[in-house]
Amino acid sequence: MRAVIERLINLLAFLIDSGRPVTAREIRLTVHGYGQDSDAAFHRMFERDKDTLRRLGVKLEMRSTDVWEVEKGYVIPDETYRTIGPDLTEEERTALALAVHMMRTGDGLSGSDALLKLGGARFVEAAVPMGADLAPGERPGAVFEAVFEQRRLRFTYHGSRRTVDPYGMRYHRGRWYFAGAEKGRPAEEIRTYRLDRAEGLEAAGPAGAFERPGGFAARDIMSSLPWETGPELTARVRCGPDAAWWAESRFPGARKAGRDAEGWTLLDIPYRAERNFVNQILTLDDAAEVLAPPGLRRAVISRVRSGA
Amino acid sequence: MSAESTSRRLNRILAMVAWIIANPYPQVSEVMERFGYRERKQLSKDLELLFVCGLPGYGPEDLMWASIEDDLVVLDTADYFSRPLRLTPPEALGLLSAGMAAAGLDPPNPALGRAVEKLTAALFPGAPEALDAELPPEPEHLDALRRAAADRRAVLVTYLSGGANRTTDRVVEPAMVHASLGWWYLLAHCRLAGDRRTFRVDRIRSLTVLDETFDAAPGAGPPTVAFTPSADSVYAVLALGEEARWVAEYYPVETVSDGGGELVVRFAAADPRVTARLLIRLGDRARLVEGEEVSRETERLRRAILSRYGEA
Repeated sequence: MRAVIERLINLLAFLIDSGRPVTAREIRLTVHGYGQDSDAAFHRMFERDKDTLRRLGVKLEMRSTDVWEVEKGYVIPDETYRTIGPDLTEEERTALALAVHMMRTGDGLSGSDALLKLGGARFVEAAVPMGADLAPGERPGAVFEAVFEQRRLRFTYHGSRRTVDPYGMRYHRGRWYFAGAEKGRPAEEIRTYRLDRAEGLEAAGPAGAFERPGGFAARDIMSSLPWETGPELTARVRCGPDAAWWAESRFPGARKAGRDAEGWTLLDIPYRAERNFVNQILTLDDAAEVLAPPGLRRAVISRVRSGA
Repeated sequence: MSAESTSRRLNRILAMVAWIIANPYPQVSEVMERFGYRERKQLSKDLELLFVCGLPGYGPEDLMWASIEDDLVVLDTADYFSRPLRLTPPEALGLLSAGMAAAGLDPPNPALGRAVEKLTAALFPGAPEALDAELPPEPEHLDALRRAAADRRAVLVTYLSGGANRTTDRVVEPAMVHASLGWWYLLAHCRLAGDRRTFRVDRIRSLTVLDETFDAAPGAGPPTVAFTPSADSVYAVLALGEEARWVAEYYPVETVSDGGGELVVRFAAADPRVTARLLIRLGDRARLVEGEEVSRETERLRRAILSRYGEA
């Protein structure tokens, strides 16, 4: 690893210090570490090095070395350098370091590397008794890039190919989602996609390809679930002594409505979609019984019978 | 050596160099803390590496000077590395989403809130609404468990176990709480089971923090919440209809065949009651192809529910 890092540091120093496009040939002859015998060996090594630099955020660009445009050379574009972060206070950096330490974000380069680029933080790693999975790996990074640069995204979703202007993304209930308008549809017709179901994600086209609609906010993504629309109904459910407290806490808006003769708790639970409510109530096994409305009760019974 | 570890190490070196150019002669201890060097030796190695790098010619005047003198880091280089690199999209997302998610926790940390605001404004000038990240709502006992883990205090919990919908009392030694897949979990040593267990925090009915303390188990990392099949797992083969295909995405299954509108999978669970409950819930959208134990358990559960409804 040491030889690779030395070579890359020498390459960066040379490119930055030259301040002009430098040809591959010049790099090969000048930069310490590139003494390859064959052309093929040099090119393989140079391609690998460019990849490593790209992971770091350094994308080498080709420019003409002179006005006659006979030859092309490499430069490090100006956008390579940091534009954010120096205004963070020491206290704010430490708070970010703790947040990054708590969140598990997959194996890709992520928050901790980002923080180093911003100058690091005074923070001693310690066992924190609290954590969470955020899993940004490669794919959320690709969507984020498109959201950030306002670039169209192409991907396969439920078997069909889509082209979408991604307005924003959200981590919610343990998953990443993104939302936007499909190509050819009105900009306000916003659809939501589960990120882990979007296959073959690729940026399609230039940056700045669309405008976000004025009222768009990422925190609205998935704020109303498909089964949470429609008129609100109320189910009367009786729950066994071990399960009633849990049913009461897991169904939002559940209210106690007394006890029956067997000592079971009666709950009134609001719901909208029958099918989803049947799914939820069946997580209680035989410790719950839907009493009303009769249609919902029949739906539970027929679901349980249907698999037999 | 992976490409990833190379770029991580290079990232740290370049970030450190840029910072030292802006803040000359820092204490070794500060550089180590700030850039996450666990051992002084690692830092020395990176400085030695810089010492042999520089500009073509590679004579004494062309190379960088990097060393430790009197507990200070001394770095003498031309300022070609003075500008820090910008964040890549995965890095910006990792940093900002971690900050946003943690900022939603109770009690709020005002410094973190300000940091997230500044980063958002810098990354999305004029469109601060493009990214959001939040952890699941905090269940009632989360804070008490987090404190008990920090203080290494044993806790008596009344827990509604998923397999049976029955509560049991047990004493646990909490290691940490962890959010994953939309729920909060407690990772603890369970004295009832005599082993490490993962509990859903929302299924803890009540708890009492005991006076008793415990020694932390070594190497207590975050839990793997997704169930991993093992030799003790109960297997079944399920045929999933179109509307039950989500099962294959949600659980770690092995595909047996896919065609004719049915996806056939091998499904593993620690407890046959988990598979039985799933099959009851799926109704006629799935069928059990193979699995004695699961079949018995499914029929038992079906009879139990139907008799609850007076339909047996």
